[in-house]
Amino acid sequence: MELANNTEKAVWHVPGAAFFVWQYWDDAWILYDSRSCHTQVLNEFAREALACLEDAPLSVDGLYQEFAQLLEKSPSDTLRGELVNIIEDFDRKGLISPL
Amino acid sequence: MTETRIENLSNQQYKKAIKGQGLTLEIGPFSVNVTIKFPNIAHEFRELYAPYVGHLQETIVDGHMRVGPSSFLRRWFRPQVNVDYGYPDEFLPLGADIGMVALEMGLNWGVVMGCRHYLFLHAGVVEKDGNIIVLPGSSGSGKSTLSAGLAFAGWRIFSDEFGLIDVRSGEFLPYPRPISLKNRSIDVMRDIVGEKSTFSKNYYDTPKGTLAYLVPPREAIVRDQERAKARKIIFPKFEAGKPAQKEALTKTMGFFRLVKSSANYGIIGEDAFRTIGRIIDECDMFDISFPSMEEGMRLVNEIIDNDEKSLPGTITAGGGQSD
Repeated sequence: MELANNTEKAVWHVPGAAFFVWQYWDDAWILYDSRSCHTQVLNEFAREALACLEDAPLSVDGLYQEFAQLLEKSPSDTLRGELVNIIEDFDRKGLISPL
Repeated sequence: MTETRIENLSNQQYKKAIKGQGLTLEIGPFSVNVTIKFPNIAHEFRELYAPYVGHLQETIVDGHMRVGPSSFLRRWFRPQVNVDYGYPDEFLPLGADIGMVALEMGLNWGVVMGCRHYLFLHAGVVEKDGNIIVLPGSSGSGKSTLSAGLAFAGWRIFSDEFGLIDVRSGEFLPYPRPISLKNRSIDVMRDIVGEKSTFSKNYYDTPKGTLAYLVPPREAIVRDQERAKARKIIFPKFEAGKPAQKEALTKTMGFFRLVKSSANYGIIGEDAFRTIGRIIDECDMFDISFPSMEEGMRLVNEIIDNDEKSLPGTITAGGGQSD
């Protein structure tokens, strides 16, 4: 619960975007992070979330608003929950940092 | 320097070099200075590597491999072989009667440890008409036997287990060492090859069971500087008693399978990511499972002859139509 609270309070950015190398096949994005030499696979939803954070630092709320606009959907708890999970996942993989 | 093949060296030249300053064995992109202290292994090595380039003078080499007794006493008392390539290893010494196996494992180890400038896939590689098929697979997948079968059926073998890629060009480099055959595949290949090439004797009770080595067709050895690009990647799996089957793979699945089959992806880093990406872009990928070498070869030829594509979800069995 504390982790989720911290995730939601922070403003997140992508400090290493310049070190990312991308491949795209079959609706999947493959990311190589040349800082860590790790290779990750992202679906379209996760790629879009990371792209939003690359454009500008955002909190969960900010990202939630961006996505609601992008998807032309009314905001929902499900969407918000998915974004919290994705941000925690990005953080664990060292792709994003809190400001 | 003039190219000398080991078969052209006199007995005296060969023995003096192999016991003394070393014989520089040159295959594809690698050259290794080899010395062997056991006469039986020196003899077997000469038979197996007869058609390969061997220099008496030491040129610029990638490594030195010393094949000798594991201790002073072990030269005579229950002789035991130790292979020293200059890299730390955890190999147990093997008996001198299977010392050739230790030598081959040592050469493999040298390539894996010393290969920092080529991306290395654990894969069989064969070529026809300038196009390469890559057969990645772990030990026991049947890739060596399938590569061997194709090598004696009109394909040029690059290697039965080392897929070496130049990261600058994306081309595969030949490294046609003797083909390592295990257990039942030894008799299968003896029946097919007959007198067309040289087999080693059988080595029993090795860490991998019974082993034998097969010299590839001479053309593959002579053309060991001719590179080519991959067109199809086929992941083989030998499954006794099951029907032959092939399944096209997605690019993403193929990418991660190739990364998994690479021994130095993490060491080479970004260039390895880009190179595998380029190969995936240029290749179609398949899984095949087969109950015999003949069936495996039939599936491979079918994929090539029909120029089949990477389309997820197309499964054919026993040569039938796509589902």
